[in-house]
Amino acid sequence: MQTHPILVVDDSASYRRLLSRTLERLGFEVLEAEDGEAALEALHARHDLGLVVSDWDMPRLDGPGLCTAVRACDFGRYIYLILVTARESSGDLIVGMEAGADDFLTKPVDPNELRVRVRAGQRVLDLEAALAERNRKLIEAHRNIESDLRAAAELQVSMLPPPRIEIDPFVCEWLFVPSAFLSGDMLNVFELDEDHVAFYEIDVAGHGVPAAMLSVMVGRQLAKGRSAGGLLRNGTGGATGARPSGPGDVVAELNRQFQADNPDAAYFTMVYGILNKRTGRGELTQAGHTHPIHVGTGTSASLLGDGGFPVALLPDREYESVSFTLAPGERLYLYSDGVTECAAPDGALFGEQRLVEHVLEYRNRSLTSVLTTLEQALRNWRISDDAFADDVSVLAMERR
Amino acid sequence: MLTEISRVGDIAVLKLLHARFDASIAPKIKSEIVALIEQGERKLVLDLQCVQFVDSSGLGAMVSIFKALGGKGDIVLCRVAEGVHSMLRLTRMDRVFTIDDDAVAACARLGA
Repeated sequence: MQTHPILVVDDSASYRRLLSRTLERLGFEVLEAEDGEAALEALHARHDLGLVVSDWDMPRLDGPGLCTAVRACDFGRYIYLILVTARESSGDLIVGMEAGADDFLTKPVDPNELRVRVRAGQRVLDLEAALAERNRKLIEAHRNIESDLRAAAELQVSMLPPPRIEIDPFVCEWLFVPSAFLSGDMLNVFELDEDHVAFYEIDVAGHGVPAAMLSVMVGRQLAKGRSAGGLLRNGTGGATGARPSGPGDVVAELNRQFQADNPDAAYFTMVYGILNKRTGRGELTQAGHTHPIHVGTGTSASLLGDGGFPVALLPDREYESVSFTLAPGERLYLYSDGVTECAAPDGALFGEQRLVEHVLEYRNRSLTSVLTTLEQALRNWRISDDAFADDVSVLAMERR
Repeated sequence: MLTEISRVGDIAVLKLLHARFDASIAPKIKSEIVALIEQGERKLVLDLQCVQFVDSSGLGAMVSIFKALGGKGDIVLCRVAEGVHSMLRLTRMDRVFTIDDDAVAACARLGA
């Protein structure tokens, strides 16, 4: 039994019967229609009907008219159309093809010719069905992958601090815009002990899922390190013992922990720093990351740090730290290079200069304003509505 | 074409032809050059005249090449644009890679 039913269209009942009988003998389930209009109704009624053998001259709607109508409609499947013509001129061929016919038979129809041309039609329909099935599987797989990515992104976002962090006398807000679902950046601000606040920003080389995984791992190591005697609190000296570790030592230890054996392993840049709550004195280490921006109460800003090795790139590196002071009203900005390397369509980069100008321009506005307008400025710079090419993250801190 | 290779004695001079040394070409460049090292090249000059921008993938590739040489060989960068040089300074890679003004100086340093 043939898998595809076939529709025979002809205004002559006896000719219809002739074709039908030939096709039934070949194992087809045959449906009949007396003209183009009836054929259209039959095609709408049966969703598994994809093969049509139609006469040319018919009342109401002729063969070419039927072809045009079928091609104009969306049946949700391919319909293979064979026109039967008494004439044999190439003019007919062109008219029929332009109307949308797939193939031709000339009257009187040779049963073998009918058989092989119909079989060609079956191959086309089988191909179409296979493609539709593959599409369906791809769409479903894609939906599953996207759903997993969204879940992972939610997990990553849950590791970020609350939108506004207030640890007297400091206030902190941030911007975090992954280039895809997941970001290779991570940031945080938290109370380290009763006298100190710690802050950091990480940017894993590359972006997407592998970068995000490393960023999460480093974030977790830093979180674990917050306990007394841990990575962040095993500085020597002091009466109570667990002093904050020097930022240089913290980064050096992370560099040791995250060296990998394989040469393709990712590395990251970071800024890690601590601030004294009473004095506003701070110390930070810049490990291959962008220069933090210190905005004083005057009209100028300064870039902190002399650079440093990235983390996990090369073993046995030493990391220095630089000191600074955040006086009341002053601000500190950490940002990933997704900000400064944000490119306009002509390739021009947003750059450090423009970023400094922006934070200076908005220095009397709220942190929220600075960050919202900065994100807008970056999107305007890019012009296109596409996602950022690299993950964007900014950490803004102010001492009240 | 990613690189143009020429020889000066036992030194392989590799000129990178793309303006952006980024994630789209870094893995291929890394494989190409690591393959050369595995074939026995020990003295490499990387001519970065055409390169205007190096991102984290490009830097990662350069470090992988450096690690592939291990202690067995030497690599010198030359004709490094200012933007790229400032990135190398920021990451202290200018202390890891030797940088010369041009290929002639680089080859002289490697004992051409």
